[in-house]
Amino acid sequence: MSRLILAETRGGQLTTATWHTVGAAAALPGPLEMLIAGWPLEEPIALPAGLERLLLCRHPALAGQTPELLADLVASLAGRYRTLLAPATSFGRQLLPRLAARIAAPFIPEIVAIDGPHRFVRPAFAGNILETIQAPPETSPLLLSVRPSAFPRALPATTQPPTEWLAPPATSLPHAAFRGFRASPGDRPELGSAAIVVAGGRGLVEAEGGFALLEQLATRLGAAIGATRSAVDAGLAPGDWQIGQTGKIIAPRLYIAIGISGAVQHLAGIKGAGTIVAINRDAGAPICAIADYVINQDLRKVLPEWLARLEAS
Amino acid sequence: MILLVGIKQVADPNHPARLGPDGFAVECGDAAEVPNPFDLIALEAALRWREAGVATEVIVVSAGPPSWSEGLSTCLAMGSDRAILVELAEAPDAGTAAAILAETARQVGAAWLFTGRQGVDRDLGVTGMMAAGLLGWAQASQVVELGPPDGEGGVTLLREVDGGLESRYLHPPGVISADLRLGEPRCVTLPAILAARRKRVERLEAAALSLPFLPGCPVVARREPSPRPGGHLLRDVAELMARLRPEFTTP
Repeated sequence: MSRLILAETRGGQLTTATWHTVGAAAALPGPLEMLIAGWPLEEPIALPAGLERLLLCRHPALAGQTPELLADLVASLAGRYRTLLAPATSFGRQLLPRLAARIAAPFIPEIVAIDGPHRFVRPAFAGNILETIQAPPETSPLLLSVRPSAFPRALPATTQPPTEWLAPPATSLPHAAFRGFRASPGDRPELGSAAIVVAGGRGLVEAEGGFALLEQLATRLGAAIGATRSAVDAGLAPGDWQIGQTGKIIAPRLYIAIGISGAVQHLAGIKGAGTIVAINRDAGAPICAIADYVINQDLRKVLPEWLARLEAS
Repeated sequence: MILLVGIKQVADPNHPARLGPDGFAVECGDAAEVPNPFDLIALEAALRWREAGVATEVIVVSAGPPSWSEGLSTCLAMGSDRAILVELAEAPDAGTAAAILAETARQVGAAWLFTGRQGVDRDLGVTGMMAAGLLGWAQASQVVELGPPDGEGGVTLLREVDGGLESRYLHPPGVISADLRLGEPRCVTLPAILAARRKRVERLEAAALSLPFLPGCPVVARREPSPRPGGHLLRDVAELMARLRPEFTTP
């Protein structure tokens, strides 16, 4: 009945998404273990509470947590567990399907809710339909990828679980190699987990210097910055600021949409948001229908005024 | 070098998907079926490799009902050399689709399998990398930049990952799934569409292929998410700031 979390690491520590995956695992019965296979790994590595055992594999070949090598490593362990969970980030999305095919295990990707030990809910059609999926109860293991924004973050551990060190598997594909990671610039809160997000869309394409004002607002509010596909395509924002069906799926407490019309593909990324504010001069824009607060004015007037008032207060 | 591209038909994503009166079937109104946008991005990348002289042949393959030959005709019009339809009564689940792609890749002797990042209907995003697992090939998902192959046929590529870009080096055979920014698919001209009608879409019976069994997980229920309650139209920034004050004062 055991569960194994496949941990995603960055900068030597577990990612926020991994912490939320542990939060999701709390809804399933049985002992919880975690596999951390990567390079480099910090010492000590901050761990969530609730782990009965930690499996550690630390080796330069695991830089970038390459899926070919990790699939081989996990395949050798998978039979010990009832369920394997990974965050539905680029890490989990590249590892779990490969692993599922390798060991012929059932795999349910991108779950947002757990409805019992064998029933899972996931979004489809850009989040307009929620599917309930039944896992075959007798098959082990079951693979799940977890949408981090849909589950709470686990609490930190107060004790160190027993640790087992694993040797890395011999590499069967020496030519599938990680070459490097180039982080997007910026020292703002991480978009995927920020409590407040300010995002810009097509409306900023016409407003000269508009994105610069949006960035100032984000700084003032302590917010992360997001963008729609239109803004990214127009070169106003890098690709990993994109929020939507094929970008980031986020659930901030406060989401401020500036010059965003609210295309279906974008709304798919914010369905879990707490309070939504829309600043859009077009009252008929789809985002206005789902926002909690709407200012139906030109962002070129609203943004400077908001910044001026924040400055004054 | 032969490139195989997997093509799935989806309901036109610009039509909202809704549940039908039985509360289970998904209805997309009178939305036409179109090739999955990400798969066309993958095909475009393959065609550019052929045009650069890197590949010799681009083959597209779909696994689905007979009506899916329409989408393959579009792919022929874009410039594919061959199109194969593996016929099934209805669209397969991801595991079956992956098994068919893997087996077809073996049969045609492909060095690379290209797929789209995800089908915009079910948003699973698994078929390409499952095929990689079945084949035991190198893989790269969410690819936004693809370099030309080097002397040994290996490629350096960029993947869009959380927080930035990851660089990978892959030696063929390999599976690549295309993300949005890999490239804009070319438009098809009317003469090309007419010319493509003369090219034959090859048909294979799925039952004739020997496929590994991958267990599926059935959808047992569907629902639409609860709509958000209506919002407030505010007069001005001052009112907005007053309304949002709790957001910034509550610890």
